[in-house]
Amino acid sequence: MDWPPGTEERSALTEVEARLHKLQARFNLYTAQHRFYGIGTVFALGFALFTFLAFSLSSFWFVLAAWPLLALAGYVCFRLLRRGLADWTNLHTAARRVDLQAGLKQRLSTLTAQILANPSNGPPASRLWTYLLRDNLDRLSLWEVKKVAPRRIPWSVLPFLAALMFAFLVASIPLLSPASEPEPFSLTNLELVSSELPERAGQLVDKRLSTRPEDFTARPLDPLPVGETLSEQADSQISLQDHAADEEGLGQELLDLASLPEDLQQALRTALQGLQESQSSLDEQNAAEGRHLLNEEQTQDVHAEQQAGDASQQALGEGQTGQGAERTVPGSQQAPEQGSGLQKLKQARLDRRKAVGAFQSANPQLPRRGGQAGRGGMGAGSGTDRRLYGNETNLEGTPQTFRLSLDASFEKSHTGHEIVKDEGGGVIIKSTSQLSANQALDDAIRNAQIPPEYEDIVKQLFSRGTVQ
Amino acid sequence: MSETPKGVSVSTSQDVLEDTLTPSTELVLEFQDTFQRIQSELAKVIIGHEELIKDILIAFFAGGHVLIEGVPGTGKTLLVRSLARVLNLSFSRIQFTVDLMPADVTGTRMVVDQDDGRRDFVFVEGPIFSHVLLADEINRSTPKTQAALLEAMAELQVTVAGTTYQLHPPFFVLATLNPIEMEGTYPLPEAQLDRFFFKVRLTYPTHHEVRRIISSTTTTAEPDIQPVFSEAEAAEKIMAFRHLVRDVLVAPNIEEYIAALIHATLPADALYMNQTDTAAVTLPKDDLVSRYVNFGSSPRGGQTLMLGAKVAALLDGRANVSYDDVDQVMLPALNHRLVLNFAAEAENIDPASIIERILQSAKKIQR
Repeated sequence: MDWPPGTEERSALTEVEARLHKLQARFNLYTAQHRFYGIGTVFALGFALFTFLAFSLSSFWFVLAAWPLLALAGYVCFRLLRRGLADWTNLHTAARRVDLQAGLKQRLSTLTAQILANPSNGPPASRLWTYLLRDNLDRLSLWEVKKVAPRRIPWSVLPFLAALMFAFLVASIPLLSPASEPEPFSLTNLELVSSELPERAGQLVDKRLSTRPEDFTARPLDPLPVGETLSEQADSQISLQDHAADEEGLGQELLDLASLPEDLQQALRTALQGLQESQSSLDEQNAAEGRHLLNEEQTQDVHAEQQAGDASQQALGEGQTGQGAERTVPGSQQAPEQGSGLQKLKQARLDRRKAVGAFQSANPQLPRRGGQAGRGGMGAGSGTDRRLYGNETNLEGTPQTFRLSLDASFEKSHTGHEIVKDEGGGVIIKSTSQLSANQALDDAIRNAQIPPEYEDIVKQLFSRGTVQ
Repeated sequence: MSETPKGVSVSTSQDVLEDTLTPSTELVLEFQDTFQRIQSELAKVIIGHEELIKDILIAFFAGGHVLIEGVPGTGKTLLVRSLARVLNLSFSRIQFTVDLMPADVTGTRMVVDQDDGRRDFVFVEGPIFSHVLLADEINRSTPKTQAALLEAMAELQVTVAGTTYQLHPPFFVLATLNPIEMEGTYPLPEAQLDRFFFKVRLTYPTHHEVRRIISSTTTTAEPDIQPVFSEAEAAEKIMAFRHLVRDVLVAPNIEEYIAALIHATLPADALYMNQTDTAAVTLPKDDLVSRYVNFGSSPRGGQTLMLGAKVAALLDGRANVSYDDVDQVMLPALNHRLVLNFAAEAENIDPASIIERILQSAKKIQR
């Protein structure tokens, strides 16, 4: 029944309709909450059950039990949703509920049915229509929204909360249990770690040492891997000048470096230089300390021999009792102990250098550490590396061998290392370790059969060495 | 402007509506007043039986007819005669006997001398041509005579010698049945029983009522019954009220409820049952119905329920039907429409007990 706006019937009817729409919204909100908590309860209980099964069953039985439980939970949720849709309140149903709660004897539902059934602007279905409207207006106070549908939390929130707490409890029991804290050095844990170590270590090493572009892109803001990569890039840049064959593979890495801002490139280069210088100085300091200890050892040995000789002479000459010998014996006994400690230290350092050399076996003449090259000069000065002029493809990624060996052999007037910039802005680290006389005579360049394509380079280097 | 307990806005709407609502309000109030006056006038003559009188009046204003079952001497004839006097309508009484012919009820064509000397057939109206007809002991006449009456009840017309004559509305038949002395009687067939709107039972009066009946009817004092309507406007007023009853509004859920009640009276294995019925609101089949009912109520029973409930709603001052209105008229509306089987008669199961059972199970639909 839709009268034109402003008429008396319209205003009265609007009042009833507005209140009825409010009630409908309240009813539907309550229904939605009720179903939501119901579904939440099912999920919480399902989670608790799954957690319990996960901790108590083997993987096989867990999988076997999980699917039926999932299906059951899904079915219950579907039924709850379907029932929620069936309970969804339309305007007429809301009126019926109000009739029942307020004892209106179907006055409101009849009025609502007439509103919904009759077409707009149609004539009243009955002479008693206005009587019915007034009858409902007289009873508006009986069905106020707050009375009929007060705001309240559905009772289903209680089982929902209980189910949540239960699920939390079930999930927490294994964490709170003392048995859940693993013993780090237990046999089981060690077996587990040792069994997984090769695979996990390989993954870690692969990621840390990889030069693949995707590894850089995966960690774009990690400064340490970028720094390491830049170090390698610096080396690669050196090789770029000499080995055109590798240009294609290394070019991408250089492009990665070049793609960085200029300031950042400079900062990274400086940082890398500082790292290498500090490490070199540390090595030199260690070497100097070693030499100092060795000199002391030798001095002490000589001094001990002298003391022992003096003591024996004095014992023989003066007939001194064993008390004096007792005072000198500790000194004579102390020297071998000190000497053995120094030997151990020396041996350890030699082992360390060998280890470093082993890791640099693919690049035996790269003078990263001046101390090593100066003292040993094994790789640099011998010039007997059989791979020096061999097939570079067999060298397993050591493209800068030839150039650096020349530098190592020629710039012998300096010690340590020198860092120069090449034309492309790259970094070239040159070893300036001094070779011994025997090593100089055994210079690889002088004795080697140099291929013709390297002739210009070798002559240029020799002429530069002459000038120096 | 009326005082209302509601807020300002509601009061304003109500005040504005005051004038426009008056006609329908007056109609309802007049109906209620008339009904109460009829009841009070009949109460001067009929001692007790208030519910019976109410049911009869409900059927009267709904446009139906009533079958009264009761033992002799309980005031059936007096009730009908008093009703006709209160309503100020014409009244006729037919004592049904075995030798009663249809023409004795409907009227017949007789040869009558005209003023000009010619003789012509003239239809002489029978006792059925009245507003209120008492068909006393209707089960004592032959089915042929019963059928003549029932045609008039259903169609408000009679056909004599190929000519149809309309009855004068309002037409109201009150038929009585004597449950004893059944020998030589012709029980009304189910189809004819269905024509009656209500079937009510006139029970024995209580001890106190019997004392009042004895004291009031054995003196020279005559009860002073005042007609509710004037003779000129009686028929018109009653027909207006019958139209008003049909104007009462009904919600769809009430219609579904009545349909469910009607279907609940059908046994599960009833003949001509539509097996593809997918009703939105149904009642479970009661065990009593399946065991003792041969035939349930017809759709006419549903019409009866609806119209009776509408009158009950008006009597309650409402313009809409409620579940209570339907429940109130269910027993008189359906008890003669349930055809019970031999097992029910053997176990002394009456239709009232089955209807009560159906009403109890129907309470859940009302929620």
